Amino acid sequence: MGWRPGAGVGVLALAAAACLALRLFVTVRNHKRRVAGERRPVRLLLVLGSGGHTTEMLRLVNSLSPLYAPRHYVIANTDKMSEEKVRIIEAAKNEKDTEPQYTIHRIPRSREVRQSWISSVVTTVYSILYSIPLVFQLKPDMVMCNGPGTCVPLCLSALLLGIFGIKKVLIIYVESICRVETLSLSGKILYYLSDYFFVQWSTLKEKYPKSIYLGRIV
Amino acid sequence: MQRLLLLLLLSSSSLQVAPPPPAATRGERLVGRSGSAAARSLGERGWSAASRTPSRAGARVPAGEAMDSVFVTVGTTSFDQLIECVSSDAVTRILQTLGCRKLTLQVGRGSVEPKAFTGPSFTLDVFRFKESIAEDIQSAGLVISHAGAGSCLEALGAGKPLIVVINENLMDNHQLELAKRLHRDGHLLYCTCSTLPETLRSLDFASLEPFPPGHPEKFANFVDRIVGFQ
Repeated sequence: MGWRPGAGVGVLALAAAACLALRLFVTVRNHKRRVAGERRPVRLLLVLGSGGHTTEMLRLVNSLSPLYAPRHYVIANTDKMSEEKVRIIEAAKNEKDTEPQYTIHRIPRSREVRQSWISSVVTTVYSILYSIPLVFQLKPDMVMCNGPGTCVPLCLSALLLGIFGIKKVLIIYVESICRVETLSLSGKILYYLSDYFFVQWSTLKEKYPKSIYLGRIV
Repeated sequence: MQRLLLLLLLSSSSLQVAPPPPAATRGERLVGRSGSAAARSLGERGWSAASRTPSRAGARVPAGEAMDSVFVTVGTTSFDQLIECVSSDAVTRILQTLGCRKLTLQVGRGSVEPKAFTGPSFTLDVFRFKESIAEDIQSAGLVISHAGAGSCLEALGAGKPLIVVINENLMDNHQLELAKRLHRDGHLLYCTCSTLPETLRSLDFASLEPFPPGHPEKFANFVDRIVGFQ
């Protein structure tokens, strides 16, 4: 039996996939903490959904100290209301500073509510293509999200930064208060890929032991 | 003890409008509730409040806030059955006996849009969507809402008594999770369109637990430790 060239490509592909998987494993397991007493600002990437998700996320953002700056908000392009809410909250945060500490970016939404699975895959790929250049350009220290469809492509892009060894991005996921018994689809995926995964009901903490439960935080 | 005092206060304030239920029954209920966790299970509240008051002569007037204005919201969805039910003669009559002089309906994408009118003793206001319904909630003495998480949280956050009406056609909706849980914890009343009149007749807001705000600062502290700010 001769050595077929197809097999060579197959082995190479397999090896590449194994490397990628190993790299992903290392990136996800690396919960790098900064040294206590650190004062260097944390570049934040915040993923906003719409309606309730946005309200919850902005409450969390509001609780953070000014050391979390700049804040890059990413909004789905079908979302009309979130931008206004961000501007209001940032204006209130910015009482003393003159330079605004935030930017707003838009990407295609990866999944509309009740969208079918197959078309979800297509739109998710589309939205990943938008997410990667954005995340590579912003190079955040931390991504914070709470479950809108757009957060999965953005977190995957953030993981890519780690996989390529450019920067380890901390991924913080906060499951919405609406989720009492089951995780959202984004939550089910990011439970395995995030560095810190918060839930807001003890029922979920029991089902997902790796999650962090601090009571209701929004 | 504090809660008992609060209850007494509330019931005495409602005394001017209508006789509150005997203090003994309230006391009993309080003991019963804190005594058995089973009594907190789903379906115990709201429904049972209705079954405990066989008398239909006069609705119990809510303690505390005057129910001058009632706000009904279906969020971004449609819930024709609720709008039909709440604007029906039967329900508006019950609302008026409760002291309601203004009923505001936010009907969303629904196909039922009752005609607004202003009468000498009762006003019906109808709109589909608004940038923010915060004002409508703020000025209402009672909020009647679909089970949407956003609407529930907004009404409870504003400290308003809340009746959540379940859309029986959407039983598997995950949005119900939160409403069910909040009902189990005693923060809201829970009914269907067909039991709404009964629930309104037997309103007893004193049985509702206050809904304290969440603690985002705990989250902030946790994240501060992760990044070394603490």
